[in-house]
This record gives sequence, structure tokens and C-alpha cells, in this order.
Amino acid sequence: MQKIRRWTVSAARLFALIGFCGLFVLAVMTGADVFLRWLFNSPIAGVTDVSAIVMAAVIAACIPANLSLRQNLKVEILGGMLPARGTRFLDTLASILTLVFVVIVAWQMVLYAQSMRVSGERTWVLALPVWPWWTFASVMLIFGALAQLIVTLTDLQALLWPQTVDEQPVNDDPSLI
Amino acid sequence: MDLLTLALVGTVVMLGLIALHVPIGVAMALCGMVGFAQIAGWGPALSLMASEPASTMANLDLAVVPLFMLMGSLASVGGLATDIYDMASKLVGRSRGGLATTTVIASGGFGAVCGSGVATTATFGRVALPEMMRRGYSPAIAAGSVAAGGTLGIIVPPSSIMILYCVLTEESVLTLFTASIVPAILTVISYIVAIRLTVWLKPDLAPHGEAVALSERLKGIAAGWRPVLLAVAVLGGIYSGVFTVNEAAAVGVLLAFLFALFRGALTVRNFLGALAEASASTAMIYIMIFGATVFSYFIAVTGGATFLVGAIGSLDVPPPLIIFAFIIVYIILGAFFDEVASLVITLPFVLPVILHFGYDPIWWGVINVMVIGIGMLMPPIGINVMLLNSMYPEVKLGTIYRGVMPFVYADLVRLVILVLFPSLTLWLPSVMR
Amino acid sequence: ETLRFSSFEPPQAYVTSNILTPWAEKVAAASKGTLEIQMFAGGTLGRNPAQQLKLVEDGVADIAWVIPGYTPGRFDEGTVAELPFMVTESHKGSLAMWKMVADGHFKGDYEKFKLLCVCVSIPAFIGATKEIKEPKDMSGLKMRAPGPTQLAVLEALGAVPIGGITAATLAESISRGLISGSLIEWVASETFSADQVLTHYNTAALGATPMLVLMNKARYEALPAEAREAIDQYSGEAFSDYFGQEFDRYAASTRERIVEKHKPQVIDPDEAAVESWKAALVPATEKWIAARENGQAIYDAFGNALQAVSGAE
Ligand code: NA
Ligand code: NA
Repeated sequence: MQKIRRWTVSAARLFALIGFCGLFVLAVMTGADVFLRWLFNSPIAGVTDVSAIVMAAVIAACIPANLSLRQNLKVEILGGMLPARGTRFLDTLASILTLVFVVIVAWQMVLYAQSMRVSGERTWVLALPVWPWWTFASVMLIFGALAQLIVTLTDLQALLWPQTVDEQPVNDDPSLI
Repeated sequence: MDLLTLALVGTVVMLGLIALHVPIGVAMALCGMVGFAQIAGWGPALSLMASEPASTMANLDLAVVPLFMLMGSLASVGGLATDIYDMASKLVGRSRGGLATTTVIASGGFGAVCGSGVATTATFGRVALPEMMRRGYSPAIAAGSVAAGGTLGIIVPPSSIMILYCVLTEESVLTLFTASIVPAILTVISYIVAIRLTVWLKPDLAPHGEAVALSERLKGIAAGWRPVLLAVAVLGGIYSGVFTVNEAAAVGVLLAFLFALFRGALTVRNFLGALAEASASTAMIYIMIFGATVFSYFIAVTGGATFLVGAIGSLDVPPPLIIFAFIIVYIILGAFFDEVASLVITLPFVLPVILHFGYDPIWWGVINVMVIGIGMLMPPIGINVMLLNSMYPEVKLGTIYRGVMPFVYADLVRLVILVLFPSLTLWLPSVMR
Repeated sequence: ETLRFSSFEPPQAYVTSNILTPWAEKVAAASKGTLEIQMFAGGTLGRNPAQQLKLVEDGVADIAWVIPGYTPGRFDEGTVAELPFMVTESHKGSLAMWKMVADGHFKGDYEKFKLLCVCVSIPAFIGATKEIKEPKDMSGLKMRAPGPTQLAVLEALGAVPIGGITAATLAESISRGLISGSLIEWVASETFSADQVLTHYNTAALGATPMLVLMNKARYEALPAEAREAIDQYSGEAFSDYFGQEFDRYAASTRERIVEKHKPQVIDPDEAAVESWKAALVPATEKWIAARENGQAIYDAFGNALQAVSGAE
């Protein structure tokens, strides 16, 4: 189990890195757009046009890593007052609900991408179809659901057979504040 | 079940789930969805679970958050924090407790190129804390000034919390950034006053700095050109209209990257590290915003927020008292909840009340960010304090909490001033229009 | 039955408070107690204007005020109204738009919804921070470009289109000099505070904004007969007519208010000037026609529809 977990963590981290490389490229393009406009009054057509949709793909790519590393903001007051077993029970419950959440979002996102394809929605300026980007986002969310499934199974294992769990994988805890 | 009861039950269940360790975004989204389904049916409720994440992810106002996160990470990799710290120490480092003052000023300067308070704390935890301990500062004042200085990461624009607030309230990010300039300067000044008073009362807490030759000082000051240029390019560019907030963030990322590259500080490893660091906090903020919007739609269809506004509006108390009551509730909530979480959870209820009494949402945004800043220092979960303790386990939690108290008093005094004189906040945006 | 009516505008904004809400009240009153219409204004059911269409499709809202320009590719035939010098006022433009639907010229997305109102704003024109007398004054001027048709118009005039500026950031983008103006009409100018920073207007009619009030078709068909009759009585041509008249009246009073308050220079181009603008903008129209299979047919039909509604008066 721990091995599969580590494997999903690495894959998820890779996607997040690729996503953020995409963001970096977007930043470079935006910077170029600004400088061209500022110096020569001739911006690159469509930079802002694609940024919204590229952004969506970037963010979706970060979600599996966030789930597989359990980096969601939680309030863990109660756990401090409970014995270790109680905390494990709470964490398992939270993982199951998170799994329900991601499965619903992934499922609905697939339908959303389909509806974008059927309706033929396009970007404003360059008239690029938007559905491929949403399909990519759906794939990322499906992978996110898988990653969360692994996390949930790990938690169940830790709850039911604590002796079989060797050590928890690293949990870096970044914050937005 | 009538709609108000449904809203109440939904809110209670949501809070209960959060107390049971369920991630905040997940708890809000699930309760919002189930509640919405009771009113509009399951089909529409389930569809919200795609259309809301989709519009959150493609929201360009929010895209500024990952960009500013990345800029901060790259600035840290490129050694800009060390530059600005050296510069500040050459400016003010000589007096008693001068390095604590240096830390606060440098944190404020770094806050102008970094949107995160925790990142600012972690950065100066590495740069400034060991230096102060080596020079014989008491651990309390050393760690206290780093933890308090860290809050300047969100109080000085750009700030991820301000962007979050603006996205949730549909206010202009630029206006909130502008409005927070004067309060941010007040914060730095009040922290300096807090340090001076503390070392004046207890001189043994901090030694004098060493005298440095004028030429050395000028050299140190000049060495700080990189962070100054970055802050001027980003904030100056936004305020002068050369570019939009999004473009400024993109340009900031590029500049921070180039500085790190040309200084030779950038390796593939730490570049990827910076990307990973920024991406982790990004996904977290998105999931939370998404949950908050689904939940707020649920509250909207029940009419719960309208009811609450009516109820509070009919109370026979002066509005400033209600504002102070809100602030006290937020500070108490901050003891149990994460402060950002309490902002996200309460905004659907609190903002309509603020607007009902005719207060400016931009002003309330500044107050809200200040309250979050205080929460980052207050026990039991003061995130900055806990972070420093995890970086330096030999400095005990109790010591750091003792060290931040003078800064918390300064925060409270400043908060009262800002509430009583809204023009301190609203004057600058009004003249910059 | 209770219907949820979503508007992204705040409740006190003009269209929501003076057109949509009274319409909902009239329908409810005519429904013999079978209908209640609850307004969700200010984005309480979805804050993103681009999302309003999806709200109706998904059944989150039953009725919504939709600006199709936010979802390019949807309701594409209707963008004919965005072309310069077609629509001259909201009332006739709205009647002509409804006629296009009734005569079966608008297909695709138009057939997927119960259309309650198909209408247009008054035409947008140039609002800028310097004097714009003739087409060549536009050369090199940075202008907001919110959609493909306006983009083509600006390009034909030699202006520099700047994307990524939302309506909410319009005024501050102008006051900071990021752009020198926008294609805009009076109501939008006042709503988004652009009137406080725009100093010069040239009212050559450079294209209107199509708008729709839509209802979920399945939801409509499932309603009792009295409810459907009440909706039908106030919808279609009746609603488009009502919307257009109200919009024109409000736009005229807004113009007076803006002129009195901010004293901008307003140029109403004479016939000769209009001809020079038309000549400069031929490429934009040609581009629109060329990009669509039936472009010419729709363009001609809309021209005829506009003539027909003008003749009828
Ligand atoms: Na900051
Ligand atoms: Na706290």
C-alpha cells in the first residue's frame, strides 16, 4: 500500500510540476505581451484569450498532488484531545468524504467537458475550441480521485491494522497565508 | 423543513464536519450541494459541482494568486530576502534592538514582493533569527519580531488574502491593494514602536548593534537594489497603469526568475522546488474557494443571509459596536479555526451585514486582513509561531508567544484606530482614482 | 410553482429592477396563482455573467438574463447585431432580432431554450479620452476589445485592441492610461463608472450587444397550462418590444445625465462622416460574413428585418 501511495505521490507531483511549468510559460508570454505593447504599441493577439483556459488546466494539474499529499486546510483541534486511534478514525472519515467529493467533481467535470464539446463553445479572440482543455482537466480530476482512493485505503489500513503501517510519507504543509 | 431551518442545519453540519477533520473546502462543498439539492433537485445540485470548479479555475482574477506565490518562492530562491535584510540592517541596525527593527522593516519590504505571510515568516526565520540569536538577543524578542514581521507578508500588498477577499466579494484587487498601503505603513511603524518600548522597558532583551563605517553602510544599502527594483516594477507598474494586476504578477515572476538566474542562485532543483511550493498552496486555495461558493449559493437560495441581515439590522445598537463585535468574534474564532477558513466561512453572512450598515467593503477587507494577521500570532494556533517553533524546536512555543505579545498589543491599538477612522484606509484609493 | 430567475446584475441595477423584476411580477399576476417568480440578482445563483446560460441548462436557475457574447460560439447567428451600422436603437433592433427568430433564421442554440426575450442594447460607440472626429483619429489608440466582432471593428480602424479588461476594471484601466477608451454605450458607461473618466464620445453606431432572457425548455413544458399562458402572454415579441422601449428610454435619460454631470464632448456624426466610418468598417463586416457558411444570408435577412420593423411604424 505504502509503495502504491509513494508512486501516486510522485506521479501527482510530476503533474503539478508540469502544470506550473505551464504557468511559467504563460507568465513569459504575458511578460512579452506587456513589453511589446509598452515599447512598440503592438501586443501579441490572444494572450489574454488563452490565459483563462490555460489557467484552468494548470490548476487542475495541481489538484492530484494536493490530494495525495493531504495538503487541504483542516482544523485539527479535536484530534489533539483524542487517543491516537480516535484521530485515525477521524482522518479516515475525512478521507472518505474527500473521496466522495473528488469523485463527484471528476464525474461532473467529464459531463461538463462533453457539454462544452457538444455546444461548441470557443475562446473570444482566437476562436479555439475550449473542450480539449476541459477534457484535460477531467483527466486530472479522475487521477485526483484515484490518488484520493489510495489515500483513503492507506487510512483504512492504518485504522484497522495499525501494526502493518511502517511510517507515514512526508507531509509538507504549505499554507496560503 | 422550511428554508431557514435548512440553512441552519446545513451550517451546523458543515461546522461539525470541519471539527471532525474534514477539509474545509470539502465540507462546504458537500453540505452546500446536499442542501441545494433539497431545494432545486439533485440534477442542478450535482451540476454545480462542475460549473463552479470550472468557473473558479478559469477565473483570471484568481490567477494572480499562483503567480504571486511563484514570485515569492523565486524571490526567496534568488536571495532577495537576504539583500533586503542587509539593506535594512545597514539603515537601522545600530540602535538597541536594531536587528529586531531591521527584521520588521525587511519583512515589510519582502512583503512587497511576496503575497504570503507564512512564506515571509519562514524566509526571515532562516535569514534573521539565527543572526539575532548569535548577537545575544533574547529568543523571545528575536522570534517575536520574525513572527510578527511575517504577518506583513499579507498586510503589505500584494497579498494572497486580499485577492481571495476580492474574488469572494467581487471587489477590485487594485483598490484593495491601494487601500492597504497606509494601514501597512502604520503596521510597520507600530511594530517599531512596540520594539522600542519593549527594549526601553527591558534593556537586557537586546544589545546595541555594532558601529559600521559609512562606506560599508552605503555599500549594504546599494546592494538591496534587486528587491527594490522588483517591488517598484510590480507595484509601480500596477499603480501607474503600465500593466494590469495579472500582468504585474507575470512580470514579477519573470524578474524574480531572472534575478535568481543571473546571480547563479538558480539550480534545476530549487527552481522545481519553488514551482512545487507554489503549486501546493494554489490547489488548496482553489478547493476552498470552490467549496465556499457552492455553500454560499445554498445559503442564498434559502434566504438565510437576507434573514440574518434583517435580524442584525433591526438590533438597536450603533453600527461600530457591531463591527467591534464581529472583530472580537473573529479573534475568538481564530483561536479554534484557521483564520483564512473563518474568513471564507463567514463572509456569506458577514458581508451583507457590513454593506447593510453602509460600510465600505474595501475598508472591511483591510480590517479583515489585519484580523487574520493577529490570528497568525495568537494562541493556540498561531501559525507563524508554530512554524518558527518547528524550524527551531529549542525555542519553546511559550517563549515565542511571550515574544509576540508586544506586537499583538500594537495590532489591537492599530485595529481600533482603523475602525474609528475609515478615511485612513479609504483616502488613498479615493485620490488615486 | 416557484421559478428561480437569475440576473448577474445587482438588484438595484436598471435592467434588473425596471425591466426584469416588473416583467416577473406581471407574469406571476397573470398566472392565476400558479406561478411565483423569485429574483436572484447580484449573482446570488452564479456570479459569473458567462455562467448564466449554464445555470439555465443545468436547471440551477429556471430563467436567466443572458449575454451571449460571454459564451462565444453559442447563439452565434445573433452576433449579426454586433456589426457596425446595422442596429440604430434598442427598440427596432430588438423587434428585428425577434423577427429573425420567428422567421426561423436563428437556429442552433436558439431552438434549445424557451426564448422569452431576444433583444439588443443601443449600439455601442466610441468613448475615449481624446477627441475622435474621423476614422483616422483611431489609429494606434489602445482600446478595450471584449469580443471578436468588436476586435474586428477596432482592427479595421487601426486601433490597438487590448484584451483581458473586464467591465469591472474598465474605469480604472482608462484612468490609469492602460487603455484610451472602449466601444461603449451610455448605460454601460454609467454602470461601470467609465463616465467618470471618458471625456470624448463619437456616437457612430458601431454595433449593438445581443441579449436574451431564456427559460429552461423542459421546465416550461412541465408547467400547468395557466402558468404557460401567463408566460406566453408577456414573452416573445411582447417582451422584446417592452425591453427595447425601456432600454431606449433609459439610455436617452442616461445620456442626458452623463452630459450634464461630466460635460464630455459628444460628436453625433453627420451623414458625410457616417459614410466615411462605414467605408472604413467594410472589412469588419466582410470578415464576419466570410467566417460563416450562411453569413451573407443572415446578414441580408437581418437588414430586411430591420427595414420591415422600421416600415411598420
Ligand atoms: Na505581501
Ligand atoms: Na490563531
